[in-house]
Amino acid sequence: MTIPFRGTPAGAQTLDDPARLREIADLRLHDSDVDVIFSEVTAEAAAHFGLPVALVSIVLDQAQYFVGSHGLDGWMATTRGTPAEWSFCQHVVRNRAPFVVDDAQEHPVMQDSPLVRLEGVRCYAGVPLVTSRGQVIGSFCVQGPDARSFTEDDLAQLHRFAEHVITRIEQRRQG
Amino acid sequence: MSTDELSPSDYGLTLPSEAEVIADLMKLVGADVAIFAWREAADSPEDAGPRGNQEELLLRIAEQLAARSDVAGVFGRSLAVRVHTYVALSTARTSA
Repeated sequence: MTIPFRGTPAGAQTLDDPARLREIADLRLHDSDVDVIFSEVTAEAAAHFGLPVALVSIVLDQAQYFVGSHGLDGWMATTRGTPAEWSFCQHVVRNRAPFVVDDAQEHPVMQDSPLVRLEGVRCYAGVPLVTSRGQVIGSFCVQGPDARSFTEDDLAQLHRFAEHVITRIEQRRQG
Repeated sequence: MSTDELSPSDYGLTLPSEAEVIADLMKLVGADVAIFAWREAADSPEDAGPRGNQEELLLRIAEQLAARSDVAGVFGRSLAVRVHTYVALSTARTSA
């Protein structure tokens, strides 16, 4: 398959873009009350791909915040996020495009991330969460501890999960 | 090596100073809003007791900021995740 990523292209989205952060604020996605509203769809995605972890990750200015998750354990289950610079999902937002990593240990962008070196994340596929205003607020993704490849059909399925999530998210819009 | 044997420095994670946090907040929302939001968070009743250590202070302020409905609130959640991560990794080290 054609891998829909590699590196960070010129003109990429910045994480601290004011309009993007205002969108996240308008949708109240930084509130602590959004914790379990996406547990069902993440569980479904993890089962579909046969992977241990699925996430709805909102990428803030300096951190990713999991507003839905399945399969997290250890400290990430407590913190419900990580610093943005460690994350795979930042690249979905920066590139406004899917980010697919078949083997993170061999990936030039991700191999030095603590999530790869110390937490054992090896494969990842994420697609953008795009609001009706055109803002990419985060990623719907799956990940696992072993190398694997993802197909075009896999990405299409991830997009369907993401569309379901963004519909639910839009219902939170203020005024 | 297990996660319990690692520390924040293994992850390259450090805590920001108050000055660094305020500067970052100013960059996002401007000086006036940043100073107002910071003072409001730092002067909250939950923060009226002893200042405690740097992690506790930053966490209290981050959670106060995160309660806001504007971009400063997004910044607060972001800061809260980073400080929670630092504390979680420090705790794992301490209890190992």
